[in-house]
This record gives sequence, structure tokens and C-alpha cells, in this order.
Amino acid sequence: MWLLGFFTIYWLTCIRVLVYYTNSTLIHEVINLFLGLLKKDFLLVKTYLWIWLAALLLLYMAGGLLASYYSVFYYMFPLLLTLYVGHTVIFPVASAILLKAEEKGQYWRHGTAGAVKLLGSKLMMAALFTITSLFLTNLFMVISWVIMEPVSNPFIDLSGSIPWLEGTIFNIAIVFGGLYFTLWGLFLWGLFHSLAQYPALKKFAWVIIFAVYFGTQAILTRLSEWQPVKNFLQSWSIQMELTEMSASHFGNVALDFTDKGGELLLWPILLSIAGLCILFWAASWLLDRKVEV
Amino acid sequence: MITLDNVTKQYGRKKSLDGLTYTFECGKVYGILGPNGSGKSTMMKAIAGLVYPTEGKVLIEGKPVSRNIARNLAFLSTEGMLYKSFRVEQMIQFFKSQYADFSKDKAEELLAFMELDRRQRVSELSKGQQGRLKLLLVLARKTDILLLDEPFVGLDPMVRDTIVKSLVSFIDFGKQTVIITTHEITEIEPILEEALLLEQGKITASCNVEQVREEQGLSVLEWLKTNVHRGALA
Repeated sequence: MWLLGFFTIYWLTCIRVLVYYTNSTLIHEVINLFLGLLKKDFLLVKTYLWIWLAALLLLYMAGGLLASYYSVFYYMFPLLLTLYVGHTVIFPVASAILLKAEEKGQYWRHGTAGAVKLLGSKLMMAALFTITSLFLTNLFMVISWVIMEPVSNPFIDLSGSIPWLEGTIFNIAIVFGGLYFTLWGLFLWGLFHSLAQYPALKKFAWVIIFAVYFGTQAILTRLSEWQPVKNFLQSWSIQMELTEMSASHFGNVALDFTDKGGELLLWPILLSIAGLCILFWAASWLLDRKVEV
Repeated sequence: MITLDNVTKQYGRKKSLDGLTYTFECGKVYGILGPNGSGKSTMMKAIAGLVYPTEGKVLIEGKPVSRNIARNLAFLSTEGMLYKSFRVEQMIQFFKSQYADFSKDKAEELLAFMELDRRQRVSELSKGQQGRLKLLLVLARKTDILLLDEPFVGLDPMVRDTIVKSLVSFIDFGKQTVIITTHEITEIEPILEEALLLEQGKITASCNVEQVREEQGLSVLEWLKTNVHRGALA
């Protein structure tokens, strides 16, 4: 009974504290500030987004019409796969557009938002850009798939002819790949602008940028080839159980997204995520303390 | 109180600010005058925490300046302040979301005063209208320090007159420390309390505007001409 009373009071206090903080001016200010940044970044990128989505639609329609005309509609799949892979570029390009909008005068640094929020908002908008574009590409893929291999309802297709799980993993991998290039881009962008403080180094800014990127890659590659590191990276894994599925053949094009399953190494994934977090933090640190107007 | 303590800012071999030492007192309106490339904008950016001195310190109320000072300082910059694709209303909303001290009521009042159309895009605004919008955005904030970097640049006399009128109406005289850099001395003279002459990154002369007017019978422009000459000779 005493224990029940204690927990009731404890939870009621927790709820009161939570209500107090969510209603407090400070939280409201922070939320408003970040929403304001998101809205601003959306307005900066929205025209590009509509143009890109329209271009994607036109590209698909033109490809579809041409492929149908020559009765080789299955050629749409290599086109779609190219579009998918291209999304790893769309993420950093969207970020670059957003950064370019701020470059003149760098006035965005004059504000109450810290660099984490400034860059975080840009990152989220670039992600939204990429995911929206991926969503449309997925839609085109499903349409093409259904045209080639009709199913009654593709979205509740239980026969397994459409590889939803594999597609989702593929989408996640693309977004992650895009995020990797974007965060490197943000960090190198911050570094490039920080060099403006040192006129002697500014002349070699591009050399420094390339040296930092390729130098880091070379060190990481060497490290990962070192046996003790290799052993460590392979020390934690989970078994992936993907449904085995035969390849789909459309004309000369064979699509096989399936894997018989296998080991998924967790350390490389976790370390990559940690590395990306460090890059983001470093880019924010540079923007807060080193980049000048 | 804004203190510049032996501030030097060097870009390569060129010194944009050269051992600048000065204290701006609270609640006064300062005019920074000087030729192009004299370091006026660099000084303003250093006070706003957007440029880091190569040597020396910039202190506000005794604390070293960083970009966090934006919480208590409004800065009108010559470039990069407005987003071309935004409407006037969207610019106002964005500033409101970023600054807790931004007053929507004051912004509405200024919007009417500046005769700006809230639905118009920034790209459609004339230079004069853009200048007025920038001023609206900084004057709608309730800050202790107001930095106006070349608010009249490229504007015709009519617009300059409107801007001076808006400054007279909306500056909190005696409470706000206002620093204005400009070439348009005649228009700004009525609101200035102190004038500084900046040449080659150094303050070569300074005066109390009222004193110059009453004791020497000179306008700021006349005072400036005399001192630029002296500076050049020195």
C-alpha cells in the first residue's frame, strides 16, 4: 500500500514537472525558433523540390513512353535503379542549395539559434527533399512492377511478388549513404569557410579540403585492414533472416533484391553512426566559433 | 557599454582594424564616418561577434563578445539579411520566430509607417523598400544595442528621409546604444550624439555633435572635412 502511494506521488510529480516544462516559455521559444528555421529552410528549397519532382515525373513518363513504343518496358528498371542510386547525390545537393542561400553575407550566423540548430534544420530539410523524391521513385517502381507483373492490389500484396522489405532496406541504405556525403559536405564546408581567417592557408583551401577527406579515408581504410581492428569489427553481429525469393526476370533484365540472409555486422554500423555524429558536431563547432562573416 | 580594447583585424597583410580602442557608452547614438575600406563594417561585425579580432578584445558589459550576443543586439547588415524568394510577411514571421524580443505590434506599426506591402516578395521590392524592410526587422526588436551598417546605401533622398524619421520615431533614445555607419552625414546629423572618424582601421577623430555645433559653429560634415584633412596630413 505504501509502495503504491509512493509510486502514485512519484508519477504525479513527474507529470507535473513535464507539464511545467512543456508549458514554460523557454521550451516554447526553443520550439518556435527551430520551427522558424525549418519553415525558412523549406521556403528556400521548395521551388527546387517542385522542379525536381516535376523533372522526375517527366523523366519517368518520357522513359515509359519510349520503352513502351519499342516494346522494351522492362528497360524502365535500370532507369529506376539509376534514379535510386542518384538519391545519394540528391541529399548533399539539397544541403548545398540550402547553404548557398546563406553564403552571401553569412547573416544567418547572426541569430539566437546555435549552430547545431542552424545545421540541423538544413539537414532535416535536405532529408525531407530526399525522402519525398525517394517516395515518388518508389511509386514509379511499384507502378512499373505492377505493369510488368500484375497483382490485384500492390500495397497489400501478400504473394511476395513485390519485395517490400528489401526495398525498404534499400531505401534506408540510400538515405544513409546520402547522409554520409552530406555530413562530410557540411564539415568540409565549415572547414573551408574557417580557413578565411588564415589568409596564408586560404590560398590552399581546396588542397586542404581534399587532403582532409582523402587522408581520413586512407587512414580509416588502413585501420580497418589491421587484423585486431578487423577482429573487433566482426565480433558483434546479428543474423538477418530475409525471405529467400527467386529473381524476377523482365525480358533481359533480372531483378533480384533478395538475399538468403546472413550476418549483419553491428560495430561498423554503430561506428559509422558515431563518426557521422562527430562530423556533425565538428561542423557545428566550426560554424559557431571559426566561420566569419 | 561596448569596449574595443586594442582591436586589430588583419586580412593577409592588410589591417582592416588597427589597434582600435574605444568605449561606446550606453544609451547614446554614435555615427561612424569614414571613407570606403576604412574598416567601418569590420568594426560592426566585430561588435556583433561575427568577426574575430586578430588581436585585442571586444567586450560588451565586460564580457567577451561571441555570436550569442545576438540575443541582445540587433544588427542591420548591408548584405545577406533578406531572402529574395520570401514575402515581406514571411520575413517578419521568420524574425519573430528567431527573436523572443521581436514585437509583432511594433512590426505592424513599422509596416504601415514604411508603406510596405506584406504580400510582396523581397525580389519584387525596390532597393529603397528593401532598405526599409531591413530597418523594420531590426527596429521591431527590443534590444539594448542597435547596429546599423550603411542603412542608407544606394537609397534616394526621399527614402533616406523616411528612414531617419523611422529612426527618430522608433529608437529608444537614452536606453538603446545605437551605432550607425554611413556616408550620408547630413541626413543622420539630427539624431547623432557622437561622431567618430575611422580611417585605415583607426579612429582619427571623435566629437560630441552638440558641442561641435554650439562651440565651433560647425555641422558634422564641416567637422568631418576638417578632420579628414588633418588625418590625411598626419
